[in-house]
Amino acid sequence: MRKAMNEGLIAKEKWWEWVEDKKDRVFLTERAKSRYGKWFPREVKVVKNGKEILLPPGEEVYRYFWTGEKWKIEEGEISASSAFLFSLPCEARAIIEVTDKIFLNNPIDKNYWLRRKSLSLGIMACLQPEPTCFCSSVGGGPFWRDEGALFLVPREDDIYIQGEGELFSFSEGVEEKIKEEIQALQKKAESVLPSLLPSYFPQELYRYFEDEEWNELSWHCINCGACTFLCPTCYCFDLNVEGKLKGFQLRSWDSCMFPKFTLHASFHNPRPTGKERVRQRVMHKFSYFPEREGNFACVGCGVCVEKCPVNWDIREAIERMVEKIDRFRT
Amino acid sequence: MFEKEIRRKSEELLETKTVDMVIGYTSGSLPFQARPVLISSPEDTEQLVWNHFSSPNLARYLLPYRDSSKKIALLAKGCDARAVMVLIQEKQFPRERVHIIGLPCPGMISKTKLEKELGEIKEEDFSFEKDTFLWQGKKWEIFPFLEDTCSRCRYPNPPLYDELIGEKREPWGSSSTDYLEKINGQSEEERWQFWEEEFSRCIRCYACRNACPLCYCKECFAESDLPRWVSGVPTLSDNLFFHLGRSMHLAGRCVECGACERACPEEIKIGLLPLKVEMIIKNNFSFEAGLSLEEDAPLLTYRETDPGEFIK
Repeated sequence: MRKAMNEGLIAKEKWWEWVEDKKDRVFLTERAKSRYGKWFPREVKVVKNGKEILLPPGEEVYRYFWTGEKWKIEEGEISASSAFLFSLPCEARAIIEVTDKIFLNNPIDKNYWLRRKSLSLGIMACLQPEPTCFCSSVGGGPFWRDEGALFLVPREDDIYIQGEGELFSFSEGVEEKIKEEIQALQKKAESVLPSLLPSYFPQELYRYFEDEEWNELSWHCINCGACTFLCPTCYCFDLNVEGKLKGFQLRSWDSCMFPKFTLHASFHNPRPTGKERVRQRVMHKFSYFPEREGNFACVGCGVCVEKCPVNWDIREAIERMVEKIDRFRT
Repeated sequence: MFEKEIRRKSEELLETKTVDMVIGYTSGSLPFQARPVLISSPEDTEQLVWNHFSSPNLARYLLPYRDSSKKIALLAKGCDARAVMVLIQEKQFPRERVHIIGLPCPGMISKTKLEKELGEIKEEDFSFEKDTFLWQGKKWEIFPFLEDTCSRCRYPNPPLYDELIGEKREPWGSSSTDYLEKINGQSEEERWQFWEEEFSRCIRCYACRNACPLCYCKECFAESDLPRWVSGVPTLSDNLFFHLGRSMHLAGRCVECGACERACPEEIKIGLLPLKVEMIIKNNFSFEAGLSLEEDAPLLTYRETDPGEFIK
């Protein structure tokens, strides 16, 4: 059950007072910046998404060396100081409903946890969904919020805010009329978005694992990693030992689009062609993860659609599979 | 833009079983985009489109069929045809199994440039005519909106084809030297600063490499484990090493199609690297890749009579 949250209005000057003071510790996503850049000082750090902070593209997991008699291992020290990340709802949802579930469930990933516990999230309402947006298909929405995060709707001269925290010391309470205005904004944003995928989709999709459709669907994908690297939920990584008698274990982003991703030591590759790799990306997000965790591992931000060099559109893959499932569903 | 003729020709080729499949472009899911498509039955040829957004180099789509017996018709702009030519020369695809439908290229337009200049735009408001378009009752030249990689194109006409649809055209006039002069005129420090800025944005998704028709190594040096040349982490030095390494591997082979640059999600000016390299090749060996099937590629050839002492 969602408990009632604080809400309030914060005047522009008060907001600036707060954000100016914190600017060295504020992260802003590129997309939040493109919508709300004028609400943040120029000094804030701009990131692509939360993944860039919580699961950086490369990091040392531990250092090791051979003493002459035995191996010594030193764990890396992560110094994560408290910070704020302001993002769109889809991007926050990628953290709360996807990567948190992976890295904060047993076994807990220490590096992720250290960074995550010092990161407060601010969710900026999405007033104008883009043509590539489909958050509502996968259980989110332009006004999606979470009780663990602040929710903000920037207006002309003030910000409507919901949640907990120090910002509320500036808050002035909210009139009924303003609440209605906020609701109207929400309705307007939601009206342009597609409807939720059917609840049977994850389970049914898996039955189409061997379907021929994947051949045609995957044909024009060039198997680069633009979609997965820019995706706020894709969390797969690789581990490599750097060094011989002395060195470190390096963790770096990996992508299921790459042939090496599943290459066995025997040189057998269970996903030898683009077809299997494309299918894996769709299956993981829309079948395996939701079957296990209860929600899709896609937040419908549309970045993969926007950035794909050959216009491979995951929405079409989903649509075609839904159609297929519905045609044969008894 | 000869779309009808392309469809009719493709239909005919499939109907007469001259080819097993046609590789071309079809409408994308987003405005101002066309995507590669595989057509295998005559009735599907209606899906084919040909416009200012038919940007990916289709030659790379031949490679998966290298070891098959399929005969393929390929829609080819100047650069696509040049890439096919290199693939044939390098024995990556047999000439007799590719039917090249040559298309003099009208120039590919950058959606980013359109949006930057015109603001919010809708595809249906545009009508394109030779080298111009109509938008909001006004006639615009397309040249300023061309992809950088296309505005400096020297070979819009396919140098190799089985048939040509459309009229041959002249290059745009802005030359690769214009682009290189900007860089050549800079001090070492300025150039370093420029490339540092560019390569620090690289996320190493390899979209450039995978969009490239001539990057067909089974195992890319960038992904080799044994030995490991480059780290997978996108640090500036690893990024630089990857891009320079790739440039060297393409030296004397690159057809300057710019597919790499157009594929880059971070809009890095990758296309400038081979530009410089190919200029050096041209000056030293009077050779340009993908213009003739007979002429040997200088860096892939050994001659005992080579004037260079180092090679003997």
